[in-house]
Amino acid sequence: MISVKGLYHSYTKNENFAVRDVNFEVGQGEIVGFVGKNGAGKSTTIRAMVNMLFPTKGSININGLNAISDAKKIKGFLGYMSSDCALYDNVTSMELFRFCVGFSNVDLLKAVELAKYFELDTNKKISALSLGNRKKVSIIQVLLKDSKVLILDEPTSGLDPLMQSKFFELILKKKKEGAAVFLSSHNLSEIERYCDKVIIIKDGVIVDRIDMKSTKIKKKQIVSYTTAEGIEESYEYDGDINELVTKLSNIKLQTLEIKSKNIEDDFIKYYEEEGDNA
Amino acid sequence: MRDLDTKNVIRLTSFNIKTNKKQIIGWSVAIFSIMFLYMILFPYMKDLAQAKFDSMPEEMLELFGVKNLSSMGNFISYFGMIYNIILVAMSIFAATFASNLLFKEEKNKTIEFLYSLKVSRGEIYLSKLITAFLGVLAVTLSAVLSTLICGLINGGETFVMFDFVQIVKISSFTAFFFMAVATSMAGISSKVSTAALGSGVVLVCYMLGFLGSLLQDKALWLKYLSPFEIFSPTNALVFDTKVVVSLGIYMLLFIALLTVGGIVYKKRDFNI
Repeated sequence: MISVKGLYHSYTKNENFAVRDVNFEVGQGEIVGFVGKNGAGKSTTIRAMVNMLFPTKGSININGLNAISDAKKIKGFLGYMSSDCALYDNVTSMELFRFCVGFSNVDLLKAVELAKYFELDTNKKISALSLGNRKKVSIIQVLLKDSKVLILDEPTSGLDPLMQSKFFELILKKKKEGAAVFLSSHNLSEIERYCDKVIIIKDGVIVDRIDMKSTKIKKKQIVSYTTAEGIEESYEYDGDINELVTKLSNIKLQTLEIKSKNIEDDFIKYYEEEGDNA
Repeated sequence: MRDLDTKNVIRLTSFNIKTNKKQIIGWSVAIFSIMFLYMILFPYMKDLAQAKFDSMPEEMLELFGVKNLSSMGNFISYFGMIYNIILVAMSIFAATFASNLLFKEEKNKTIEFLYSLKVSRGEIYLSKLITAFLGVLAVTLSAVLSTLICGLINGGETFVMFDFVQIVKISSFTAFFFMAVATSMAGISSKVSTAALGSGVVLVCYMLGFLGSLLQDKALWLKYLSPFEIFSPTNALVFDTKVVVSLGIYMLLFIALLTVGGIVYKKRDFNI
């Protein structure tokens, strides 16, 4: 449903690219996470996908339509939420929803229901809302229309854990209905929990792709122990767990910790390498 | 034009007006009050103004755009002098208001919300232009209404409706011209504050007209670069071939600026 091919973008006229040769696809009924530190190129990629920025090179297609020439048509079935949640301060959220439904032929009642679900007071002016509540307004605005594609830039930052959970309930429902969801986040545990695939971007280049269904991560264990002599050891292990236990039983231990390797470890790895190289 | 949906443009324009109504109302009230204050005092000011009018050199009269007006004891002449000054304020409003409509969407990043809706860049640009036009029109009408009330109260026989309408029609074009300049600039780029730049253009044009009036023999051509001079109340009343041709040229420039602004806006990155 989403296809990004050879995407380059430069904010200047020279070839100082913010993103380089970015390629990925997001299929129907799939949630793909987009991870990278601040300034890595996540928002640039996302903004190019929704025609806020024009690719310097490359192509972006959504449901077979060109993201530039068919931008308006695409927005008929695409929901986009920016990371900043910048909204108009001098209107109420209900006035904002009323404005939005005018473009998508949706019943305003849906906005009322979503506001109730997210516990949002729609009569307050946007300027009087906290960051979390502004986030809720943006989420409701995105979920209002019947989107087949959702592009979400840090959708849960600023939301409390209960609201994050409620938000993902709806996203998973959208997924079941066949929507393609592409979301960026710094919350790696939610990425690990809800995403089918994860793309890691660093300095504008995709450096890793992780299929969460595969055993690539899940099988790996991080083994850390201290021997009776006080020697500390730590290593990754992806072999048979019984062999590991046998191996460890031959060592006199003071402490032992075995934990499953998660995406956070994979993610941080790239930044540690960057630090080492610097 | 295929990406322009009239309903979308109307919805966007209504929303723009809603989110900017304080600014429009504030400026309209301010201009109404200033004009009312000056025009209601006409019976008391006319002698003073006439004395000033008589004592001023021709260059100064031209500078105020009232050289060919008969006398300051005349309501229309007095209005012409005041309106030519008020037009500077109205033009600054036109430039800042029009450019901020586009510039602030990107500066405040609200464009990410607005452009996530099923709208085209062309619809956003056109709605901003219509909003700017309506804002400048509201401020102009507030000046007109204020003068009309005062004219009916104390204008007497010297309040000639035809002349009044002629000045309003021609001289007010100046504010709308600067609205077009600012809209075009904001459409082309939002990397610098186009509101400040637009106000700068207004003041530069005013100064060019000023210099053109002062340096009549040496640099008369400077006057033609200033809408304040070309469409001054004096020229509005004279309305000779020179003014008609200038109006035609400025109208073409008006359309060209807005077209270029719209074309670039559709093809450039948003500055977010």
